[in-house]
Amino acid sequence: MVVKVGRQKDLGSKKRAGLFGPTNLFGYFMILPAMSVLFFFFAYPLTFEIWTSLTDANLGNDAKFVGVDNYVKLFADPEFLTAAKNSVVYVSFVQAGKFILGLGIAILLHQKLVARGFWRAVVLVPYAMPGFVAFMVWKLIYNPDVGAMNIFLTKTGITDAPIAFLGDRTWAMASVIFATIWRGFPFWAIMFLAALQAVPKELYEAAAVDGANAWHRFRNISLPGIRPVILIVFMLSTINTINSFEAIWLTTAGGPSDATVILPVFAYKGLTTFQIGESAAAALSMVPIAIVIAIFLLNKLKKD
Amino acid sequence: MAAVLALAIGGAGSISADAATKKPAAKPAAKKPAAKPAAKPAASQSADPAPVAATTPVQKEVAALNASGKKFTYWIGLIFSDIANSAAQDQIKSWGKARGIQVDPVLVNQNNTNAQVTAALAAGTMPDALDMGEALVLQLGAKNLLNIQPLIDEMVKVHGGFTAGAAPTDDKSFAGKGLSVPYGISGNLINRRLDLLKDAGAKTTAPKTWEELMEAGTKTMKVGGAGFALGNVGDAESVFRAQFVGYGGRLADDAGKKCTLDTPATRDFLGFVKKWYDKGAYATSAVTNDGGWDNNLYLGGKTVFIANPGSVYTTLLNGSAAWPKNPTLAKNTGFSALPGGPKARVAPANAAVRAIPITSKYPELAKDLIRYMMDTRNMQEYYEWAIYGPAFKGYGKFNFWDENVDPVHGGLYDLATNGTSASFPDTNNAAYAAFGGVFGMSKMVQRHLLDGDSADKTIKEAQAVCQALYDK
Repeated sequence: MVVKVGRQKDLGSKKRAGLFGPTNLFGYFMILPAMSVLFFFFAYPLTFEIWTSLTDANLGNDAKFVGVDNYVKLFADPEFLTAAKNSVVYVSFVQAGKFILGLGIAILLHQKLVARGFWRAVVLVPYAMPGFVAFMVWKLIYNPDVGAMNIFLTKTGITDAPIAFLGDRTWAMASVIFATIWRGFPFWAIMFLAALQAVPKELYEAAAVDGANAWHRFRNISLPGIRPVILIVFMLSTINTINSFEAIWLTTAGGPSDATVILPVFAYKGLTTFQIGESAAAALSMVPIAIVIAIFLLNKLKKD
Repeated sequence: MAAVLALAIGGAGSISADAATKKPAAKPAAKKPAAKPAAKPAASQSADPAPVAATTPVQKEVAALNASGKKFTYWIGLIFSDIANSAAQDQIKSWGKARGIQVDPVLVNQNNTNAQVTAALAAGTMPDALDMGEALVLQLGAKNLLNIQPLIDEMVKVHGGFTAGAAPTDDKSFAGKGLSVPYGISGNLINRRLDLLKDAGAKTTAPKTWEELMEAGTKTMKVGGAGFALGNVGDAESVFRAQFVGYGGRLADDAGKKCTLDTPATRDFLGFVKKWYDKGAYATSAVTNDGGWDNNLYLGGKTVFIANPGSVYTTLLNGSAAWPKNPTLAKNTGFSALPGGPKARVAPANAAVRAIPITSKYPELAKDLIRYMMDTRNMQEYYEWAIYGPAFKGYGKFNFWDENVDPVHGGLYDLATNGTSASFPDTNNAAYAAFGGVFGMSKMVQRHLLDGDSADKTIKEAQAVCQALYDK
């Protein structure tokens, strides 16, 4: 044991001494392509965007350093605050919806169903569809004049007059959330299904022998078994939803008024009006939220 | 129609609407083939670019471009006419072939031009030349666009001077003077369903005032009413702007520095919109972000009034990918100038222009291309299918401008020759252009109508945003 410890110490000191030794230099050389890609596609754009957010860049003028002025302005802008509030509502409900629907469908598809393979394929359709097509279809479905939803509601007498699902403040956010859930839940469902299939059957059999009912088996075997997948899917999907743009832009463009403006739409609008510095600040304002969520979930995963 | 569009900056009552009340002459269907014209139109035969000596700047740029192995890129402003879009593309290709260079004519949705230009500027990927609107010229300014005043002067000389719609782009007060060549004048005409108005017992004559139009809109609610957008789209902005000015409103003072939204005129304008919104004169789906919403509504027979620059009529006659020809609806459609308010009646005319980014490595080639595209025969081919009025007087000789031959082209010609600047009575500067993008009339109306903000609160917010932009 003593010898081993000594050798370990030696190894450790060699490691430090050889940080830039010929062997390690070769290692650095090997990771250079990946590091270059990361630099050009991640570090450079991010640094450039951070720099831009600290300037008054707009079309027609040279960018001048203004410090954190853009951020100060943003937090004093009622429309930004509305966008931030809308983002919280949008992301929370969309994620909750995807989780409930995704898990429910995964459990259903995990059962011995007739034509189970077919149903599993069908569930993937919304996710396989290009986002542009999916949201344009929802826009049509919600249309007050020719939309299927309103035709159904008025023909069945549920409502007397068509509802402007995307044009009425009361309905707009809920309608977009529903469409986003529809488009995104298959990813959750398939991931959960794969995780459920990896839970050893023996655990269920043993629990059944011990008299555990379906709820107990789900609560104490299935859920803990798929917990790491839930956390990973939750993290990836939340970051994706925070940055999502097409669902809102294609259906309401943030309207009516600012009822469905979320942060990415707010940032894009800044870009269309040439306020590049302010727009960059708005876009970056989403990053800390995503980082906090990622750290929180990664910590949970680590504990698991 | 000329009398109708003739400015009318005065009491609405003083406006003669005689020609506008006329049922448009049926357009001979045979005049326009439904199919795309031949790839190489006859017009192009004499419009081939003039040969250039090997030592000219153009030829030097040709050599440089070919040596680089790259393509000359042009962004064409997409319009609601597939044939006109193709004609523009074909002309650029013909020019490239004649010059012996590779070209890349890209069709750009004009709703996305601002975002695309912003991104391209940041990435250093601006095209060699492009189409845009006056507002973007102001935003880009001389720091981003090449001064091409000599080319503009040449065009003025060759094509007989500007029409009224294009003249403001060369006005000394226009901050974008010298930076672009206007090639088309666009603006809205009211399209109205004569048959539905008659069935509802409403007047079928051209409405002289907005009140009159909305009154007719409420009478025809069951069959669609007024198809004016209330959402975040350019159509809503242009109609609201005309109404706002009609009620005596203006964005800023004569100096173009102090925002003047907080006035009784703005309150009157908001009151007008709210009154008719509450009466249900607007379609249920009017709060939309779809720029084609009103067109589709009208083409589908689901509204009585829309404001449109002519694309709907062209579609009715020729059909499109989405809509079949509908000569019956075309026959039942009446056209007129935008109505007026109690204080004024305006015919806002926007100029579409061609410009060269300062970053273009081939400015002489870009000028050469613009010169080629502005050739009378090329413009004749383009205008016949486009929804633009003429930018130069010399283009006024084409027979399709005659309203008896084509009511929409007749209206566009009238707009180009008699219309007012779209910014009238405001000074067309960068702040004016920015307000349209950042807040605009549409958002002001939405705050009042949809968010339930009082007129005072709405105007206060709009005034603050506006003044901040003017202060910049």
